[in-house]
Amino acid sequence: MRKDQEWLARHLYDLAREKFAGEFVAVADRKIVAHGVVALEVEREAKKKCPGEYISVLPIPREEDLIHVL
Amino acid sequence: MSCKFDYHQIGDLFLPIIPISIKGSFGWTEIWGFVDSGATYSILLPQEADRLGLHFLDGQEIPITIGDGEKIKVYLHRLSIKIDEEEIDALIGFSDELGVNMNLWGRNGIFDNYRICFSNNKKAVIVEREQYL
Repeated sequence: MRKDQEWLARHLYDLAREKFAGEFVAVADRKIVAHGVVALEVEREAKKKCPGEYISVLPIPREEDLIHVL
Repeated sequence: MSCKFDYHQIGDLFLPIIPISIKGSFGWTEIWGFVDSGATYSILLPQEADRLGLHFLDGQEIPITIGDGEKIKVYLHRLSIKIDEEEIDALIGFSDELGVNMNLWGRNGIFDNYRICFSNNKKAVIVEREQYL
């Protein structure tokens, strides 16, 4: 598992949940570098801001999504 | 070869959310989803099809019954995926009717080819390639 994956697992949702629930976020080097409702645009913006860096794009579930999934 | 993925912490919950790479029109794209051993097919958000350069409605339409008994339309695409280095084929579904902002990894293609262990004790998912004799 990459280092940034560990960070994603431990910290991402608590950072992102309130502000970005229902959106996609892009993470590079343990920072949220882009967010929005259109995943492709989020990814492209992140790649533009952080060229050459490894970027992860994740949907951030809403509170009610967790109830449905579980 | 085995891969370990820590559960993702969401408040007090620990969820098995892992990345799987899928080959689309733009090459390989990493997609994160909840590992749902109860789901026959993986169901991804249509937005992920956009990232892959696919038209999700071009897939084979099938009805799938979800947890509350409701039927949703899912569009299946046969795609190359990989968790480790090895590429495998899987039927991956897309739907705009899932109603949750989360991708789900189901059994087809994934559980057929990988042994997946949920360790609540270690708060991790361990994925190993299934060895065929």
